[in-house]
Amino acid sequence: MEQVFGNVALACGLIIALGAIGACIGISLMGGKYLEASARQPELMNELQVKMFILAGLIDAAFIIGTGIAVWFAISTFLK
Amino acid sequence: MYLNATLLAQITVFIILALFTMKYVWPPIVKALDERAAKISEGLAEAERGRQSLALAAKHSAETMREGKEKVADMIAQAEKRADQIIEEAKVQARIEAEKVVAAAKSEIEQEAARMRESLRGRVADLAVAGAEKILRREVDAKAHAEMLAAIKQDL
Amino acid sequence: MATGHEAATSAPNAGEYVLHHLGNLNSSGHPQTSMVDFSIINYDTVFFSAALGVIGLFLLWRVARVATSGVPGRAQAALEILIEMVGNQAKAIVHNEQSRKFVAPLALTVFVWVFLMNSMDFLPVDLLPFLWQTITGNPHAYLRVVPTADLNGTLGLSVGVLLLCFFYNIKIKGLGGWIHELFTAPFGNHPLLYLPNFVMQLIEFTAKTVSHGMRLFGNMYAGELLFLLIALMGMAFPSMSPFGGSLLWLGHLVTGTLWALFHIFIVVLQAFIFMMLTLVYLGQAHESH
Repeated sequence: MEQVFGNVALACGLIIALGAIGACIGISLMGGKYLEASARQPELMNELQVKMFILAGLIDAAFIIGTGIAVWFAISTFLK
Repeated sequence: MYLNATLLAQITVFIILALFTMKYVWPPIVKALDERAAKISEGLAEAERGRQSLALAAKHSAETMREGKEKVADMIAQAEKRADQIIEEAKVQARIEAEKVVAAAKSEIEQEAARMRESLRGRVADLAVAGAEKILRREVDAKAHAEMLAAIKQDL
Repeated sequence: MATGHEAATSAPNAGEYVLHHLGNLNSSGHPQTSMVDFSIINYDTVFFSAALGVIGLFLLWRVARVATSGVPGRAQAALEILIEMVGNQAKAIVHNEQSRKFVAPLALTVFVWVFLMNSMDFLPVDLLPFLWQTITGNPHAYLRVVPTADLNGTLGLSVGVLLLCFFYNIKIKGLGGWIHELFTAPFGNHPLLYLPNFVMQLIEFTAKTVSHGMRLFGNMYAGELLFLLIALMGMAFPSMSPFGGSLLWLGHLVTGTLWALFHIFIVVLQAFIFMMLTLVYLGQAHESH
């Protein structure tokens, strides 16, 4: 049983961590580009902001789905 | 994480709600929006027309004003010219009149002088004769010197 | 938990608490065990989603019924902003006047409905379950109040969108045209490519639908779990030493507030993204490859 606990803990950590890495890189790339773009063309700022938030939601989704599943695994394993 | 018949119920509810929105929520609002847009564009067009006619009226009035001013200026200039002309004419008239008067006076004076001279001539001759008579009463015979006296008289 | 006193009052431990909250009120009476079982229906998801849909649309209908083209009231102005926003997005994505008559109201429905369902997350996690347990007199009665944190709820929506995609594919391209496209796009029209094309199309439709539903579900499910975990912190308050308990209680206060504030953003954003993706998928159904 301890073996299972350990594996589940590792798996949950990996799911969340890898998802977080990907999402953070994605968000930072997009955020940086957004700042560059709005520095170059401030008149497009509002329009770009809306699109950026939509993309942020899309990028975040995979990570949050992973987090949800990982937390679900963790709870159903450790808190029973 | 478990799938069951709720899925089908959810699809049904979804379609029903969407149909309801399509029938009862969307059209009235869109209609109101379209109508308002039409009203606003109409109002804007109206305002534009009003602005144009106002500009037209302003232009027109400015033109009339300018015309009036020009006319007045014209009139004044004409009047001044006319006045100058009248004065000039009057001056010329006066000069002519004055010259006429002067000429008349001159000729009168000349006539008078001629007449005076005529009469004086006669008188001088008489006087000279009388004076010479008185002087020469004794020395000269009037008959002897008549020729000389006539020459003198001629010279006077 | 550590003391015998806790066990005696049969208070649930942390795992039981969370798992109990993740159990749906369904027709079988206990949480579902197999992954797929179409003989079971979740009463709570159906009830709350239908109720929220009806309430939301009733409010919109109330406003729309007395809509005037003159000076609008506040409610009408707000609804107009919403409708213009949705209408503009629909106009930009779906290039078909006739279809927009249904697609744009559909997008509005999706946005309002998903927003309302997501917003159920803001109610205290124990409020409605506690009321339900009091009403039924059963302290173990199950109830989940967030329909979008139930995979059935979100997949129901995305499968509905998928069906509409099929409908519009057939309507615009004709049944033959659509089948032709299924086998000739995206790689090209060649007998050898028919199978890869069809497989690709199947994968595309499946991926679209699953990611569409899973995205919303994952966000709401993770949000609900976090609210449950935060609630556990506050619940631990009486069973711990005064100092540690107070810290946990304070932690509940701070993290609960922060997460709720962030969740407002997520709720609106996910509703908006769900609407946008609905429009995009329906727009794709109108375009031939």
